[in-house]
Amino acid sequence: MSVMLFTDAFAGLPETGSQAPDFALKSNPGINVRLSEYRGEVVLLTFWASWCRSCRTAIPKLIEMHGANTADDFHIVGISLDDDRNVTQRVSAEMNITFPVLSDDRHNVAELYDLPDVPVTLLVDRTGTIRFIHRGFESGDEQLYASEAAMLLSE
Amino acid sequence: MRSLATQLICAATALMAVLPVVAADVEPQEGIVIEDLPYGQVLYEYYQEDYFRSLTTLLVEEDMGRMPDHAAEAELLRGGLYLSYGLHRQAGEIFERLLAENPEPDVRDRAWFYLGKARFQRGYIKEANKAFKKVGRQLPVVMEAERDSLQAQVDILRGDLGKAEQIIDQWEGPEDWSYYAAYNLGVALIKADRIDEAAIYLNKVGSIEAATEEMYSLRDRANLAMGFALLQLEDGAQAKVALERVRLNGPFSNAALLGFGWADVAQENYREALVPWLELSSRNRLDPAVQESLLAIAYAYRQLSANQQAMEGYAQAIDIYEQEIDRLEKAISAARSGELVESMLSGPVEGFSRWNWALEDLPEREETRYLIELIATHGFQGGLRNYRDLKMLQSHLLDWQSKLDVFDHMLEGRVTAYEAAMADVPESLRQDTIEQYQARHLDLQERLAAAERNRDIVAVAPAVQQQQWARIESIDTGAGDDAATHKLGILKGLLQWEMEKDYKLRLWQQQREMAELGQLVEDSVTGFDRFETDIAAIPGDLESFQTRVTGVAPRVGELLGQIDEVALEQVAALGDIAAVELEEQKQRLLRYRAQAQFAQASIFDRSIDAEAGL
Amino acid sequence: MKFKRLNTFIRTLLTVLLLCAAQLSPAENMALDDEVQTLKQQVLNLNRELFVLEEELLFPANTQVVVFVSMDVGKYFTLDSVELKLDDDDVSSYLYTPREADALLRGGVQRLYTGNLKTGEHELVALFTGKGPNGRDYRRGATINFEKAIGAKFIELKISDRDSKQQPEFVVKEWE
Repeated sequence: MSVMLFTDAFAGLPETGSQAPDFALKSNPGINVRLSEYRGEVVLLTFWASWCRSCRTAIPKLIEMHGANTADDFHIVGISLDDDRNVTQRVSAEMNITFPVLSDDRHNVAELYDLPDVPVTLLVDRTGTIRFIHRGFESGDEQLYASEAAMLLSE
Repeated sequence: MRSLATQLICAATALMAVLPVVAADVEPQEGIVIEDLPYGQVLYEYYQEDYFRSLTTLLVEEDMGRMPDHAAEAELLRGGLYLSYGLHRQAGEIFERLLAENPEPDVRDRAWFYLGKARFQRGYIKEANKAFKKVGRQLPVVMEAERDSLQAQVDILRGDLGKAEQIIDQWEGPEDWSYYAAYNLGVALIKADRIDEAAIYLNKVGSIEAATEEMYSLRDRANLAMGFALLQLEDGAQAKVALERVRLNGPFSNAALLGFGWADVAQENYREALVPWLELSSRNRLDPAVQESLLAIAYAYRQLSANQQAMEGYAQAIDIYEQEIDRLEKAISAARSGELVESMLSGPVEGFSRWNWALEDLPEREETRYLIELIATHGFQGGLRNYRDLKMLQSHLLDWQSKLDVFDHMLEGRVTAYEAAMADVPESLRQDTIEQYQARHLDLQERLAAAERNRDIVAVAPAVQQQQWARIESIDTGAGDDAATHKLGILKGLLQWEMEKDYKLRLWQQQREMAELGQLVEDSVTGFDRFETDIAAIPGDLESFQTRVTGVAPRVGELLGQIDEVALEQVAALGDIAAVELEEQKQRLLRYRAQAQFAQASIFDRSIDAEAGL
Repeated sequence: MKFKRLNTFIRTLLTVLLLCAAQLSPAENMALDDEVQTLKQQVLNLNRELFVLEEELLFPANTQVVVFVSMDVGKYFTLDSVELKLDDDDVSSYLYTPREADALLRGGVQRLYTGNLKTGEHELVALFTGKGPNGRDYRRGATINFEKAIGAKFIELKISDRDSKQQPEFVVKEWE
């Protein structure tokens, strides 16, 4: 499994302002989760994988963000691109991930979103529109995410 | 003079018509056998609370006539969904039409019930009552509770409190619906000065074990109403009992704090009264309860003869009131210009399927906290909902516009494909080829028939024999060569005998082959005909689709335009409502300020008199 | 009265409170309200027309084939996924969320797949997975050979345990 999923940089991620393509994936506890069921609420989607270093930096920050969140209409959802669901589960447990992690082991959703690489973080508003897209992760980004989320929640 | 408490309680009762906050006002019957799959699809979307999609599917399937066995149910559901969508008038029409068709008792009862509900929501109480009276015993159990609750409310509004009491006292079944009715009854009894009776109902509602926000809210309101009613009777102790039950961190806590203070005052404990009021005064100044507390505090100091603190209190109150009056004036002009409402409504709302907007859903901005009273009014809620719905529809229509573009391209593509296909038709499917086959077959058939008629053994003989025969016939031995002639005669005879022998068999074989060939030709003809009709249909189909697509596009555009217009009108109307409300708030503050100034003057005068030894 | 001001305050408060309690009046601006309702109705109608056009264009009645999924099982069966193969082509692979599975349990019917087929023989292979009452995993398949004639074809895949208690199976019904 190569480190880069696609060689093309910034291939064709959906544009901000467009509807987030809908999908359904199985989450860690085995429940199926469909993106469109979050309509009316705000979602932070983060694509990651166990072999991606900056993802491993991002995840703990997101866990903190999840812990600090008091709004019941804001959700953080992780989408793992590991080929093996067991690996996803193991790594999630190791990292103590508290938010739901979905397994995109067949990479259907990665293709749907035309992911150039990981991590990619998207903020989706209450109407299902993608409002912010972030590629990569650096310490401190989580604050930007938090204020973007706050803005979307106020709508 | 209206305080926050009033507004919130007002809001509660104003919203009574559509409470509890279920997103749809109708429940389809569960457990019925699905005879038409599309009806099941409508239910599938409905159960997921996707009401707009459910309604759309319902309309499409009814139009296509694919739910014949569920006609009545589908109509009921459609009426109910219309009702939830705010189309009261249209819903009423659906139910009336359904009733006119003399339906089955269970359908009939539900239709009367929904009709009553539609009328109730439009404010036609008498008519609603008439409809409810027509509902028999066939109503599903889950709806009985709602029916009783609505009936009680109707009775209250008609002034028949006794009937309402009866309904509530004899309540069976799920309690939740009864609480709404009990609350309304309690409030009506207060108005009728029957506080003791009111207490029974309001205390009951005020002590329920709440599990949902709606129930908590209802409980708070009941306690608040009870508390303030008791305050009117100056029963401070009992008022406190009720007010204590109001949630500390709920939307009504400020009103409750205000009430606490007054309860203390009723018991002449002015010092105690300061406690909740001082707490209240430190809270959000946009809140009218907080504004009142400033006056109340100064009043309490005055009662405690702490005149200096009282003066300071009034001075501070006046200060704050003037600041707020200033702010209000700015807000009023923002409201009149439409700015205020627009800022409330900013943010995309398209695609949002849930139709009900409660206080909690509104953005957490300064101006909106400010407008809590305003927002809660029935008029504003209605207008807000209209706006949201229109925006959602607009978004759908925009989606359709892009889709229609796609259809256009698709159809163009199909036309091109058709033309290309026609240019490339295989030989076997060409008209002239087929005609050739047919002609040849006919020819062969005729020759075979002639052969049979004339018992022409040569005609059906195999080629080799035919050649031999032809050769023999053409040989002229000439006169005199008897041996040759004789030999020829024998050959001929032999050949003839061979051909005779096989004649029947060969005839039969060839006739069978002919029949098979005939079938083949016929199949080709049929195939060609079918191909022809299919192909012939295509240009017509394509053209009719193109006409439909081009025909519908301008209508989409037109409706989009109308939505824009009406939405703007709605925003303006909301702005007007907002301006009126804010103006009232300003007037209230002006009155408070005047009271504070008057009180100041009064203290001042008294102190002068005191100094002067008067 | 000692509490003159108190009295006035409370009295006015309650008057307004009760006044509005009685007030279930319709929206203040009736004309505008009616305009909105009429417009909404028009859009709903147009919306319907557009959906019908779309269906006829993309899935004409003669070639249309629709596969529906329904359930008739005890409450403790949770549907997880359904996969469909039509003439060896994977046409659907659907994961059911708790909300969707619940809607099916309550009697809803899902339109899983809509497509076009030529007249003649076709093969549908369906597979469902789920969890039963004891947390036991279920996986059942069915192969349906069917004839497509002229006219829309509906195939209902009902997951049912009626005939074999607590052992859900596919019960297939064809509708024409």
